[in-house]
Amino acid sequence: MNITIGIRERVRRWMPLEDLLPDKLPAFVRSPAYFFGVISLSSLVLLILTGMLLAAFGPQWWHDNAAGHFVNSLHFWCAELFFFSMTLHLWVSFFKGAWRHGRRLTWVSGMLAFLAAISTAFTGYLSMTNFSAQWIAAQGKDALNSVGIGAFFNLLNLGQMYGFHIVLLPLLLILLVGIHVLQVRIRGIVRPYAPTVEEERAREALWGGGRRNKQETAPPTPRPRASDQVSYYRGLRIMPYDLIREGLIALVAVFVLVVVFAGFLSSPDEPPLTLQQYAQQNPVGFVTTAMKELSGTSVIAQYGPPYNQGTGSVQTIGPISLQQVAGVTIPIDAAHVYVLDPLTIAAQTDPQVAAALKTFTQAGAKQQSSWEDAYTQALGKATGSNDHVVVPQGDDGPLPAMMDHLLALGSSGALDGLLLRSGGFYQNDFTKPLLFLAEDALPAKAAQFNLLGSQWGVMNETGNYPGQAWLWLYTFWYQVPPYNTSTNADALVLVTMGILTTLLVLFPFLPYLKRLPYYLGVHRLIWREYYRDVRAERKVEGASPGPAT
Amino acid sequence: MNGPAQYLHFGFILISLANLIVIALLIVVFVLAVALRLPEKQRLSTIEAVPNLEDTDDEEMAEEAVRS
Repeated sequence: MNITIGIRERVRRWMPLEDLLPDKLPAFVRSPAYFFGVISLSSLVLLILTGMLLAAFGPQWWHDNAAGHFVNSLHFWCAELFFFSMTLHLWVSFFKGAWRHGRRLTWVSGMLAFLAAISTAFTGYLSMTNFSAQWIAAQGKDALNSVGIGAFFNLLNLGQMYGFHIVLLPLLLILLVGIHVLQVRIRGIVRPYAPTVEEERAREALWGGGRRNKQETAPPTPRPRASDQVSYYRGLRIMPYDLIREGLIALVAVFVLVVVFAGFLSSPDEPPLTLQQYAQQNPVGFVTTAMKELSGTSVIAQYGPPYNQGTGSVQTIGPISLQQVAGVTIPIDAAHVYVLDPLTIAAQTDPQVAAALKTFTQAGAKQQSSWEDAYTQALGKATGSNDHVVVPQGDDGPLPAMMDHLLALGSSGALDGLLLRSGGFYQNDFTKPLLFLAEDALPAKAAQFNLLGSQWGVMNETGNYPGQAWLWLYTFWYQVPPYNTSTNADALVLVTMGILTTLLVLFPFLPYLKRLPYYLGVHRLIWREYYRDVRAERKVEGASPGPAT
Repeated sequence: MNGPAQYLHFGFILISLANLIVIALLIVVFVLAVALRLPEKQRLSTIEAVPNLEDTDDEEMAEEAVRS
């Protein structure tokens, strides 16, 4: 037995070249509603090409170089067009009931590709190395942490997100799109709904691939192969078609469109916020945040998994907390990471810092707590300048000296580097500085751009650029009860969206509901010429319904 | 485009003008795609009839008609 010949013959039968690269199609596809698939594909091709260019020059290139910024703008508008056309393709496919006649895998692969595209776009936003990336990471981490995913998929780790965005997720997306396109080609485009429900049921029984009711609808002949398009399109009018030509035209049209958009509208790029800016522009806020980290009252100090054993931000789904099940995988001791460790390094060259630090660390916990309370209270009446915060005198021990030195580290830019230290030379994990900024500085700036969760922020983009409008339902839940008042809002929204998304992916398998598009009737508009022809033919043939056309 | 964004407020709904335009465009393009037809003349000049296989038992002949 020759295995090679066996596989070759099987592949040849399963996907004949005439079906993969057709030069004829049924006449009912002559509608603009059929264009969105090829526009999505063309956008994806250009997305990959522009993404390869951006990857070749590194994540910083497009911030500093005009050509790089233009390529980024092309990438941005390709992504917008990709989602725009994919959404329309999804709508049209839904109203056509495109999963009928054994095409459930076509629908499922398309939906999974859509989800992979959303994940790819999400990691793309996280890889932009600008303010949007900072805020989306700081905001998004709570959602993923709430269901335990954040323990392994750290949005604040640029290296991890960049790898996912430029390699892993695009490969998955290309694989799923490839399966989807292959399914469309080898099974053919779904026929219009039959004129009557009975005829459509008979057709589904013949081509559907599900369990057949022997008594009602068993056809007299064996079931044809799913990829047998000759049998499937029997009796339909066929028109000449040039698949490659249509693809090339779509590619050129999409390219021209994104060049025009990129040239005239550019792309958003709000510079990232640094600890240095925070310390210089809001020294009292900076010191207040640092004091919360030291005294263990900050959000991160009390957060819980994956950062520590706190419970402040632990969310549950009913009695189960997936967040706690996932455990502490990114340990952060807030007092040490943000205050004591940086000052310890500074103390090596500054005797004053060393003395203040020694006084604090050698004091008992009760004394430390008393100093912290007194200093925190005094901060309420503080005034600040570039590297100094003036607080009313009180029994706050060495804390004013410690905080002044920490503020000096912040405003000099040294703290930006100190928080990135991880024992090695190369750094690409921004978890620590982002968590510090997420306490106060990032939300304050995000509010100015309407990016907060309560402002439907998941959908929005900085400036006047369109954001992720396709995420409207995800952000909608955060605006309405019980989600907007629940302490488990993130987990509840993710579970809700998980259920709805699963239902949409598995829509062709849902009894009764899968017939919804037929009763909505939009298909009668899409295929109105087909139905007109059927009516005319039947009028000629007489009142008898005749064979399904 | 990088200037202060324009937002519209309807009750609890807050939406940027840019996002509203995108959503409106989605609906308009969808309606146009469903409503519009490619030129009738072109369509009619390109279609051709394929024999109904129920009229013949010759599968090869019918396949040839579709493929050719």
